[in-house]
Amino acid sequence: MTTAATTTRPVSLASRRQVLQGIGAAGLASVAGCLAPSTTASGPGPAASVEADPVPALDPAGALGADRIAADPTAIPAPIDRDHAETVSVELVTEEVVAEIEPGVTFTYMTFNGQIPGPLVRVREGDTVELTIHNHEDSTMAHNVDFHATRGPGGGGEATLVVPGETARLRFKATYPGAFIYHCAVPNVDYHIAAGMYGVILVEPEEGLPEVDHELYFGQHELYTVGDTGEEGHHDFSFDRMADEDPTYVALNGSKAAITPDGHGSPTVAVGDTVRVIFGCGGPNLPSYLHPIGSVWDEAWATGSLASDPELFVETSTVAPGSAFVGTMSFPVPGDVKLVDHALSRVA
Amino acid sequence: MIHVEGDENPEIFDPDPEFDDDASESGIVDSGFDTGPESAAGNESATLED
Ligand SMILES: [Cu+2]
Repeated sequence: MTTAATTTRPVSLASRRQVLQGIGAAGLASVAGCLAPSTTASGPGPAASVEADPVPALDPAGALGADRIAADPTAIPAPIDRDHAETVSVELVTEEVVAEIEPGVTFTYMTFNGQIPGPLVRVREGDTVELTIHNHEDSTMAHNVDFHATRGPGGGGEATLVVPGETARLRFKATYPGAFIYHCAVPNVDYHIAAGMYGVILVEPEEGLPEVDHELYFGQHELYTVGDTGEEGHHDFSFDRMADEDPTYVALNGSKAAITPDGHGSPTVAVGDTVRVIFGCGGPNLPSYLHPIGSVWDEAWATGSLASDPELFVETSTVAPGSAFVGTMSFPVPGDVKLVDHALSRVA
Repeated sequence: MIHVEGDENPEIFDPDPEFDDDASESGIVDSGFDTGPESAAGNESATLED
């Protein structure tokens, strides 16, 4: 693992005009005008100081803004039980929050509504979504949201761009069914996704979804930081490691072992129950090879395409970055079923 | 890039809408997470009771 790193701190704020120009003119590659770089270097190489104490690689762990960043997989809207289109309101708040990746390791996450993945948005095909997005007053950066469930410029990214304290609105019609990612899409979109800004919108088909006993919601993304995996202290973001696609953590629901007995607890179901899993791969770069250890997906919509027939009895589904998965499982015997990325060398 | 020209279609996509506040149900549930610099309150368990 490398310890040398170049960090860019989010210390200055782009104007709305600057960010809009960034989206229009330079696409995803532009960071100009959005961040003020300040470079630090550590790790191998000649020491620049004659002081006796070595310069610590990391700052101390930060003061926590939240004791949990992992979305509760059960805290999702109920299946839709109506036969007509409605207008559905969705209120998102973009918040930057210091929280633990694992005990003693802190990171400045960026979130939708303080959770990773962001809240599951649930609507029915034909519904009209009235979206309000508010950027928290304490934010340091501009944010927005791009919904893959709509056709329109930037998936709404241009219309929803908000600087701290600002609120924007967007209305769109969910004209096609499926499970789709939404994510922040400011010019340095990969940074914002890697800091946690992604979620899933589930557009149920008009005929609804088959009844199941439980529904669970998860998401995977990578964290690129200046520290080593497990190194205590505050981990700044590492653009170098992101460019190398060399994550410090690959996390389910934002932090290490979040939805396990060692983390925030695991959902419990009974023998004979059925479960529907809604899973988003935020990336920004790595797919998830999603496998339930000790089970199989009875049905799998690997790309979230609910208008298509599912694959049956699937062991491992490839879920691309920027894509969502839907699968069902049944439980004929008791015991633990562990959801993993079967690229098993990935940490967390 | 593909440039699309033509009339706006606000029924499908309206980047500058007026909302009818009493016509809506919510498409999300509140996580109950208490975030922000001033708060570090606890959160309920993720365990699902069957
Ligand atoms: Cu953002």
